[in-house]
Amino acid sequence: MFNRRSILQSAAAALAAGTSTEAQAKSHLLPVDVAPRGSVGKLERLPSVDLESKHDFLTGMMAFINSDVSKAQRERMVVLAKQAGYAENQDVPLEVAQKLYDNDPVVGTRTRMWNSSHNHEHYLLDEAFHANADAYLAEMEAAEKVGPGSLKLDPALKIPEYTRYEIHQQPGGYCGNAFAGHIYHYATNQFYRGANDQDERHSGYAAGCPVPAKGEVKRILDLGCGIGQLATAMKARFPNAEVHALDVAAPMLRYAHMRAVDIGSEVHFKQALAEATGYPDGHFDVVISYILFHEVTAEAARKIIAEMGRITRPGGVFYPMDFNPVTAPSPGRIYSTWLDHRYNTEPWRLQWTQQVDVAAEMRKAGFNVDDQRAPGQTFGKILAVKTA
Amino acid sequence: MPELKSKRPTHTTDFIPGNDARHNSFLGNPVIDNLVSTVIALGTELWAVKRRNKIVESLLAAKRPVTLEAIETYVPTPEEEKTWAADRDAMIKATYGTFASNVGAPMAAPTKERG
Repeated sequence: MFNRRSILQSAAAALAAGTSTEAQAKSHLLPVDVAPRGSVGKLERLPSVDLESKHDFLTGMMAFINSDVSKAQRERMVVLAKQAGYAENQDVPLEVAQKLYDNDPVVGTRTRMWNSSHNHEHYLLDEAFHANADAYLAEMEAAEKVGPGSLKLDPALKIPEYTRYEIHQQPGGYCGNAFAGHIYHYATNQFYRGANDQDERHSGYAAGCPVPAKGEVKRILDLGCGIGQLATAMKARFPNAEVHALDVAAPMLRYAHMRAVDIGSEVHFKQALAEATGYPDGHFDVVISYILFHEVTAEAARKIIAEMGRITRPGGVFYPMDFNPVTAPSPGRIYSTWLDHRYNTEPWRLQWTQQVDVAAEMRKAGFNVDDQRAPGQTFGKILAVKTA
Repeated sequence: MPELKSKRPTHTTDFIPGNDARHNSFLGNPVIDNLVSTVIALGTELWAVKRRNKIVESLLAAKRPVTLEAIETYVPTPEEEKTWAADRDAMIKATYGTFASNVGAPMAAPTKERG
């Protein structure tokens, strides 16, 4: 019987015998490469054609929900707000928005479909990687012994409570599931509607990252690197720079390092808190982060910004990208933002957008601030340049 | 989370369960919520079968041997990727399109009030 396990075994046997199949011909640089179906570009194919197809379906489903179903929900929200005497773009307390929408079936349908699709994607991936846990753990172990780049884990690190939630509903969160990186990678690609399979989004952010006006870019830090997509993109843009990447979650870092080795990208990954990185003063020319801050508490965010003030060199650049406060409020937007916080397990998103005066904290940390967040946009960038 | 069947180090730590969305009712009746989840899960199963059929058809059209390994390792051409994605989206729209309809007036209102 030809099944998932037999593919893994035949792939391992073929590797041992030095043979090559169509799938393995596309394998990359790992000493032990559990990619029974090979890779497409940078992305290793999921371990079975059925799982790949289900992932493909849920990617299409998420696109449908975020377009057609969301449109119906938005229209419904406007109707309900108007019926209750509120203007379409009126700022209302959350309690008012909840009263308007909590029990509405059209609004509830979108919420249910979005969550069910997201949960099912996680369920399928979690089952698949756990089904061959030993092989995938062995693959990460083998990668840790080789370069390019390096991985430094800190078994003594006290993992703060705020980082141990099941962010994005991901089973076990970033710290509690051995396959957190694997799951995050494919599940977020579903979220990106399939348009980030080759790190297109991260490559774009790396390309747009400002550089210091004076001096070379010798050292770069990707703060809260997750699975390292931005770090490897920065290495591709700055091949002569030393690229470091920091995260609190060991499972994410292990996957990140394995993937960087696989695609031949020299990045130095380190497990540490963003609030206490352990790097020397003024160590980095560029510090970049992507969607880190909405996943930390307001208290941690302030400490992290201060720490970035310490480790960024004079004239160096700190460039975080994240969710913006709701600057064009409407009952629907207020409710949808709360839904994401409450049911997509984004426990700290509202603290980041409502309690942290980012620009003020950056100035306090010694940065000149160019706030590039556009009003009405949900996502934005802030350019902070360390004063001399 | 499934049981881990490996003795290798995982470098994990305790986590705080925070995902109650899968059990929460957004539709006023948890059974209806479960039905929506089931209908979406059935869609994944159906598309897996349809996509497998497409792979078999592609292998046959290319006069390649139709083996389980050939099916598992088949890499769609860019043209197939495009066509299959369009087929998938059409299937989703045809099957789930009713969920994207806005009824205008609140559905909870009595029929005579909706006109």
